[in-house]
Amino acid sequence: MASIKKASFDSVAKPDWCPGCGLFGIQMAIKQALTELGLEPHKVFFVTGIGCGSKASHWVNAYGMHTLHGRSLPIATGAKLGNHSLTVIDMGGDGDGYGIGIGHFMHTMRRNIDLLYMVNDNQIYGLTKGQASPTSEKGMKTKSTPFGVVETPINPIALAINSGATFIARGFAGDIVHLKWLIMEGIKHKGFSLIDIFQPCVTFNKINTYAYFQQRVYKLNDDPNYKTNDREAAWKKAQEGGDKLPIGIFYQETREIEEEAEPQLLKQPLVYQDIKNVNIEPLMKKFV
Amino acid sequence: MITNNLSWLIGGEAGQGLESAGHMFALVLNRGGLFVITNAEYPSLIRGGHNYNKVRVSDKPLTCHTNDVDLVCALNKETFEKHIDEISNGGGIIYDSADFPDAKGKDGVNLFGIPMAELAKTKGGGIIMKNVVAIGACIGLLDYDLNYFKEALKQTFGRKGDEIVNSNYNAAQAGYDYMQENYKGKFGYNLAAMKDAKQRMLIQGNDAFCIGAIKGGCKLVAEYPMTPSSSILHFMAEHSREYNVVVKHVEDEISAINTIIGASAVGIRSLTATSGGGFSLMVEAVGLAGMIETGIVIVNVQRPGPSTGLPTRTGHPDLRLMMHASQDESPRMVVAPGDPEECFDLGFQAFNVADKYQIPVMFLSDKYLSESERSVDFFDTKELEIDRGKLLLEKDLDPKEDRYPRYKDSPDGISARPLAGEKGGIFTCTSDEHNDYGDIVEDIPNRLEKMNKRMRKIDTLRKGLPAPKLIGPANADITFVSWGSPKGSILEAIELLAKDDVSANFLQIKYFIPFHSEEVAKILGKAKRIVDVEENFSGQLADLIREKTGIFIEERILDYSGRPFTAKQIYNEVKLKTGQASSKTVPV
Repeated sequence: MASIKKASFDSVAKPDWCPGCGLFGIQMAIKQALTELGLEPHKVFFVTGIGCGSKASHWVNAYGMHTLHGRSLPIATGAKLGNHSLTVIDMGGDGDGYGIGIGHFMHTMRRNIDLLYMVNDNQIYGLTKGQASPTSEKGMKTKSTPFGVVETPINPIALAINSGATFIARGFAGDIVHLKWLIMEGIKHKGFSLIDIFQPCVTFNKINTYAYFQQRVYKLNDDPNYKTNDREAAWKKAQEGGDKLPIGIFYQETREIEEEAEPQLLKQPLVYQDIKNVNIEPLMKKFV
Repeated sequence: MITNNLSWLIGGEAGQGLESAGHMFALVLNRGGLFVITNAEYPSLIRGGHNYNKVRVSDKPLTCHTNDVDLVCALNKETFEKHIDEISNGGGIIYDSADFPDAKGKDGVNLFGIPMAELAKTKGGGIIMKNVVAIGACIGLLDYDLNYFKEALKQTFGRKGDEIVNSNYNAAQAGYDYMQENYKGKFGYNLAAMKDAKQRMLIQGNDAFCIGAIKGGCKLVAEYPMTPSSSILHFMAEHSREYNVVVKHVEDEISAINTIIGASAVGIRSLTATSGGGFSLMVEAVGLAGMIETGIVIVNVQRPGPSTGLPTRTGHPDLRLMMHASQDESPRMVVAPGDPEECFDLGFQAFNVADKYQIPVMFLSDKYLSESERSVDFFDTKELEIDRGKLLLEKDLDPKEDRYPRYKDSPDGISARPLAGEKGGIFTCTSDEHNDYGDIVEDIPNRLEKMNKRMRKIDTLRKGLPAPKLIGPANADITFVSWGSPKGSILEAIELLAKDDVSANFLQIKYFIPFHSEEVAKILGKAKRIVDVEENFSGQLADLIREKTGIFIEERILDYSGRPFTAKQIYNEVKLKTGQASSKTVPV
């Protein structure tokens, strides 16, 4: 393991998450990954949605944008299109990305824009104090489902494979070193990267605890026979649940990214293009 | 003989090429230096139904369409039956004689039968060219120069090869010749190109807006199609590579507005366009843009609702929606143009205001303005300057500073904004209430300071905008108040009233937020008889004026039929009420 340099990504303000929250590990992994990649804080644009984890953009020293519930992906997309020289990372919770924002989630994946999307997936709504989320297990009793969840949970990894994401991974907030590696790989990946992160919610989710995950997770990429370019194998792995929960890179492929498909962006980012001398004469002449 | 003053209508079913025929007829007249204005009415379907396009032409500038029709060109039987009674005395109708071997007209209306379909098949390239025969016939009957039409056909079909161009020529010539041979001298109207015809654009409001947006430095458009705003998406997409604008047709309107907020947050000028229903989906994000002080431009090309309403018709039902959309109160500009020139000017201005004041700008157009084509002089760009306001680049920042107080209060309410990516400018923006640096803070002094600061920008903006002025004579008998595209019909109604020795003037409101309360109160306070003209149910502007000035406008001409006002309609309404005790006008 490389030694951790002084993290210039440390923020002035400090997190207000519950003691023991999985988000502390995630935040640390993000800062370490950005530091180890040698990125400069002012070249990073960190977008978040709304939820406990979405406050993280306040607590990583970079240009940050703490936005609306479920809408961080369109916002991150716009930011990347506006200035693709920035490293754009996005984070939200499972309610944010797989609930209210699931339409944007699927469309952003098929667009393959070059950004990293991390979902702190705690299988519960934390900031609204303990309702079922789209990834809550069937039967789970919460404040909004006192008799147990009746719906089948979303399978974000399988959904991502089907929607055309080009980097699909899962991490665990309790394994910061592994998560940091995933984040670094996700940022280095050219195209849309999803990291679904198992994040224990120590306050509201008494089922999916640190111990629960520690007993079940295993590292996918420790298996030399597992190939990350095999969609079918990834799909099969995505179906695993119960007592065996794979973490690591499920799938990765190279595909044209949105920024390459738009010749308007080839010369330089939109934000640096001159807007003071636009000649509209040729346009007006088209109407004569 | 009436020369160069005609209202023409072409009707048929969707799929018969009415739109292109109407456009081409208007174009050939525009190229002859005449002033034209078009208006299309059609239901929301792709094939069939009854559709028509109108072209009004004059040798003097026109401000609005008219419901009068002097010459109808009927591509099907239904058009004949539906419009025969509208034709003015001395007018005429061109129709396919095969459809009506024994057509009966009405007194004072000339019947001009022509075997359109047969000529299209035998002389042109098949039945598909019936509309070309029809336009050729109209030009022949009106004794106009066919070469303008041939030139337009060549431009339109040139890329399809000579054979197609020639068969179009032949179809046009056949229609022209038939009318010249059979009806020469039998119609009391003609058209003649102007000598030294001035070059003018024939342009719709949406296109004029788009040109203003491109001139205004718009670099990203995210939009979800919705009639009647989609032509903005199409125009921007078509010219995206020429002008280096990224245009995204995204998954829904929520994505559209949030995408442009993200883009604007990193410093580019961006746009979304929609109609009322699509805007309703965007509402939450309007507050986000206001809270994080990120300038965006939102166009609402209005159509009547509620809900799906009348998807292809016109109206001004969304003023209040735009003014109050999103929870609590957040700063914004609400602006409405009245004609294509204003679509361009205010379109350009919208991007400057969004950028400089860091607020969402709501641009309210309507279906009629967006689609009606008009003869317009080239836009004057000499005075137009891009103003990016307090935008900070690396040279303006201290690279040793970790963070920048981006939301620091200032006398004008506008804070300096570092461009994302510049060293020394780091800040967080958040939809939560926040302090100078964008940290979430809920204490009372900060809340009050930040709320005051954001809303103060509206006062600052008001001072930077031209105050409304009366158009027309001072001390007139009648003062019209309105907004949006009724402008043109009101201006013509004023001319009609003047012929009856009734003087009238017009107060056009272009800005609703900020509102020029003092100036409006001053103008209306002196008015003798105020008539509010609006295309919505309740008179939303009149009520806004009451709210802002205390002046209650009782007389309201309100039309929410989905069809644009005509000058005669306004004139008749006013005449009806003249001399009566004022009472709230029954909606027409």
